[in-house]
Amino acid sequence: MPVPVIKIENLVKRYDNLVALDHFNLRIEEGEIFGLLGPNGSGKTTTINCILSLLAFDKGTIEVFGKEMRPDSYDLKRQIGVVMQNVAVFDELTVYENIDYFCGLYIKDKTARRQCVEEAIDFVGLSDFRKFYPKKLSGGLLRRLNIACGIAHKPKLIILDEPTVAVDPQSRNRILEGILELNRQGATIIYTSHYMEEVEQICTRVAIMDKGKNLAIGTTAELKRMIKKSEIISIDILDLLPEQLDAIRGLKHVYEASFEEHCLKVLCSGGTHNLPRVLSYLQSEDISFGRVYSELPTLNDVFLEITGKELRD
Amino acid sequence: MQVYKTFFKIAKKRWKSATIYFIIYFTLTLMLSGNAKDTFTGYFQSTQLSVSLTDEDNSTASEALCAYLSSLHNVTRTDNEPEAVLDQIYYRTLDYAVTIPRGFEERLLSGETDGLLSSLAIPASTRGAYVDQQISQYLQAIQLHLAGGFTLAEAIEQTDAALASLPETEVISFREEATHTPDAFFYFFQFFPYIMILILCTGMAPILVVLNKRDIRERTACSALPGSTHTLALAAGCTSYSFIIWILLLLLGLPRYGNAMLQPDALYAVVNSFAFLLFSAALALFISCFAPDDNIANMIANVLGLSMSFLCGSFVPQSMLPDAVLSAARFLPAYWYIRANNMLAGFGREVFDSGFYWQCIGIQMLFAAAVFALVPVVTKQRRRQA
Repeated sequence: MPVPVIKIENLVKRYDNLVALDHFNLRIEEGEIFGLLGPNGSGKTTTINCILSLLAFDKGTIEVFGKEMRPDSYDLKRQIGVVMQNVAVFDELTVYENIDYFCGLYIKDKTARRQCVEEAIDFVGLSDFRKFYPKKLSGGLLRRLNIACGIAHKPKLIILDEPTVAVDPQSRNRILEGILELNRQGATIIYTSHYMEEVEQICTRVAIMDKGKNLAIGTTAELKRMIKKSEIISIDILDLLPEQLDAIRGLKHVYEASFEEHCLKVLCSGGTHNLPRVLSYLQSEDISFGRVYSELPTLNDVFLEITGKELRD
Repeated sequence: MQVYKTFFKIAKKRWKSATIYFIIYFTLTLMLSGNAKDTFTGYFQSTQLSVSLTDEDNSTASEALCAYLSSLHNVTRTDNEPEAVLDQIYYRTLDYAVTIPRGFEERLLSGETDGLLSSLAIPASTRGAYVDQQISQYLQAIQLHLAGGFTLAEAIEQTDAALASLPETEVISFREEATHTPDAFFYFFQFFPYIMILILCTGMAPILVVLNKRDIRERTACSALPGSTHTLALAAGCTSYSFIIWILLLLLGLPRYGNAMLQPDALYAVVNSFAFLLFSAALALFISCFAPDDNIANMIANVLGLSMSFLCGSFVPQSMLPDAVLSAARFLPAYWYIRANNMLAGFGREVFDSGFYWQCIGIQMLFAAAVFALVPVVTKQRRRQA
């Protein structure tokens, strides 16, 4: 069995009376893009800070690359790249100098460092801004600089804590593409976010967190299969008789159907051909229909069904 | 090395504001030291004042007093014209007016001391007090001789002789060659507390504020750089910065004060300034622990620098400060710095005492150590609150 990149067992972290992490368990394998998904205050950043030994914890164990992680585990820290939630750069240094500073905390050799810094600048697309000071950069460029500072030393494990907060869509796409590229280059990635779309888009596995607990873990498909709702079909119809609505409720995989304001809403659990089945019925009854929508469940639906509240509550 | 280099990169980026501060404070120090030169030693010299005298007694004693005052001042004899005298005093054409009333000699011989004369002077003026003191001294001397059995004529003769042969006085300073030593050199050191606190707190503290920003600190803590190396690099940066500023100040003083700064006794002043440098560096470090930005650091530095300089006798000589202020100032390191400098320069007639000098140095070091010790405590507390 390969050694996991991260192994957390029974992690407990308390802030006075508040339990931030409640017997939290996690195992991340090499090459994964692992998403930690949860609302604000669910314990994502606390988990990251414990992994990085920025926070002492009350109970449990954390292993990184098979070794116990401690504040003085500098050999392990050398293999980790960190992109913090808040942009941590010096306003007094240029883009190049900032990346060079953070890269220099890991790589002492000047020549090797220069090459790493150049590659990081190219990677995040800041070549035209290398002599700019952070105050002159837009929010998106600043986030990219933050990422460059975290990855310049080519770490094997990259931890990104909400790297796309307050970023424009263009920069967000660029950042997400960059993360996928880093993964293709061999880095294992831990990605925390409360944006479920991003997590769905890039993560190979996801853990859903709330109140310091790991509620569910798996691929996005696996997580969606855990819940009852698998498809929502919406169809614009002029009129529908009650007995016709009852007949729709009786179709295979349909567990709920409603008709309000000329819109038929059908909730299905499981199955792969639910939409053709509903449309076939409407045609057989000679019911004319307008626009048709089919929505697959999101991670928010998963979170909603598990916790009874929205991810962004 | 990376942190150390970054310390100076940030310092370099802020060189304009730091240089402006440096030039302002240094110029101010030079100006203050230039103006204050010779305030203490060599300040006193007897001056002739404009005195009007009305003698209503016309006695031997009154004549003797007139002669004595004429030997010291420009005395004009007038008739009793109070309004004219008042006008002259009001317009400052006259410094002092004295009237010797009838019966003066008689009362003098009977041993009376109060109300022998009536006088007018500019209210609360040192000139009035000066002449009052001279008259009082003269009359007391005559009465002393009369009490000793001399006749009035003999008493006047003896008093004149005694006052004419007062011994020469000399202010003795720490340096033997007092007449060849430029006092301004020690005035330069007198304003050192102000300049050091301001330059280090406004120049160095903001660099530390930047390097200790929470996000940067946490990001650095995640890295492969050991915490002890980071702390050492910061300490080395602070030491180098403080040392460079100190050397620069001393070197810039050279063209102005020349060889005086190279004299062996100047070494004591340099050591004293070094002790205060340590305290200033500790203070800058301490301010950086809780100042959120440059502006607050500047504000704190100004309040501390100015108040400490005023309270401890940097701007106003300690000899002129009230006892209550001096008692409070003892709890500030600048007081001990100034005391040591006063001894070296002979300000306020302080005599150099090697033991006390080293005591002053030691106290400053203890203050520096105490503030240094507070830094980790405050840092820990701040991090806990964050």
